[in-house]
Amino acid sequence: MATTRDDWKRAVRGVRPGRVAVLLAAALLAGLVRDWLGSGQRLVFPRPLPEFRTTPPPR
Amino acid sequence: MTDVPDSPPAARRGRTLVRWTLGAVFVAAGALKIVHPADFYTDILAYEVPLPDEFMRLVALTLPWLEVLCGALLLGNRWVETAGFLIAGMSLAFVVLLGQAVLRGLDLQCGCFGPAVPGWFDQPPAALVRASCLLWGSLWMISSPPRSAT
Repeated sequence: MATTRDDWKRAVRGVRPGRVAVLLAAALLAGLVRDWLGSGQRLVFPRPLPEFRTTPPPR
Repeated sequence: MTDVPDSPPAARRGRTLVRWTLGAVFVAAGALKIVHPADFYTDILAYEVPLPDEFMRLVALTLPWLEVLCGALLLGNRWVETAGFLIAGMSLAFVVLLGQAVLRGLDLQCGCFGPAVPGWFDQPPAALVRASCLLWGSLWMISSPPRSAT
C-alpha cells in the first residue's frame, strides 16, 4: 500500500508535543539521576571528594 | 483518530512486526548503553562533531534512556505515533552521523549497542546500513494507517 500525502499529514498530526516533552524530560531526569547515583565515572556532576581523616599526632 | 480507515490485514501485521522489531532493538540498544555511560560518551566523541562538550555529555546520559522509553512504548503499543516520531528522529540523526563518519573515513566504533558487541557489528558501514533500515522502518510505521487509536 503506497503512502499518500494524507498519511504523512495524519502521522504528523498524531504526534503530541506534550508527550514528546514528557519523554525528553523523563529521559534527561533518569540520566541525571543515574549519573548522580552511579558508582562509576560521572559525566555531569563532579566526583565526590575523597574522605579525609585526621589522626592525632603520636606522643 | 477513529476516522482513520482500517488498513489491510497484511499491512496491519507488517506494521505490528515492524513496531515490535523497532521496540526490541531500541530497548536493547538503550539498556546496553545505560550500563556504561562513560563508554558511550567516549564513543560519541569519536564522531568529531563540532558541538559543545557539555551538550555531548547530556546526550550520552539522555539518549539511552530515551531509546529505552520509546522502545518500551512501541512494545507496549502506547503513544505509538509520538514514540515512532522520536525513533524516526533518532534514526535520522544516526544516519547523518554515521554517514559523515563513513564519508570522512573515521576509524571508530559506532557505540550503538555499548562496548560488548563484535567488532564488525560496530563498524560505521554496517551501522549505517542498520540505521538506514531503522529509519525506513520507523518512517513506514508512522506513515501507515493504524488499526486503532492509541
